[in-house]
Amino acid sequence: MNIDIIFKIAAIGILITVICQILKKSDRDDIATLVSLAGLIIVLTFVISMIADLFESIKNIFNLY
Amino acid sequence: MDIYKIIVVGIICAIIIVYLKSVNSEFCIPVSVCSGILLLIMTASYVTDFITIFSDVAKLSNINGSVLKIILKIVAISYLIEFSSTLIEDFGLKSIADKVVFAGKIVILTMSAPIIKSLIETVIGLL
Repeated sequence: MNIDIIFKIAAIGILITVICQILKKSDRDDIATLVSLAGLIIVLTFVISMIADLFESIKNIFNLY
Repeated sequence: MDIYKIIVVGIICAIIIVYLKSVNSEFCIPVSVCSGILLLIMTASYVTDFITIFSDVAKLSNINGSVLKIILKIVAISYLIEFSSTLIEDFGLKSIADKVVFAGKIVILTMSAPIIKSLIETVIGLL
């Protein structure tokens, strides 16, 4: 497993917070919430795929089922 | 040894999470989940070595297969429970983490029932 997934998520996080700040300053709060929601969904898809990998590897290790 | 690699990965993830918390974006939670998973998958190779050695020893001492399978299943359950409960505790929800640990104990207890039964049968057989 490589560590670049962590860096990818961290980069998305920082990018989203910056974009939200900019949007908030130009008083477009509704778009800011949408952008942060979209970022959160993207990151959650990463997390879900990693959890699936974890459960898969555990199933293979203990050759369950 | 690649234990150093695991330690360095853990420290890097911790630094990133602390930084994300300081920017107080809500992305520190997925990052902590992913770093936990990453570290667990890194230890997978050690676990596979242990499993092969363990099954060889079991074959030597001719324990029947079902007991061995149950023991492996219990180890797998404890592996998962430990991961998820400490993760939930990270989010500050101590009560839910305790419930997960409690559920894991119950499942392991029911899993180990046949082993206890076979133990008692052998003891009675000796008497």
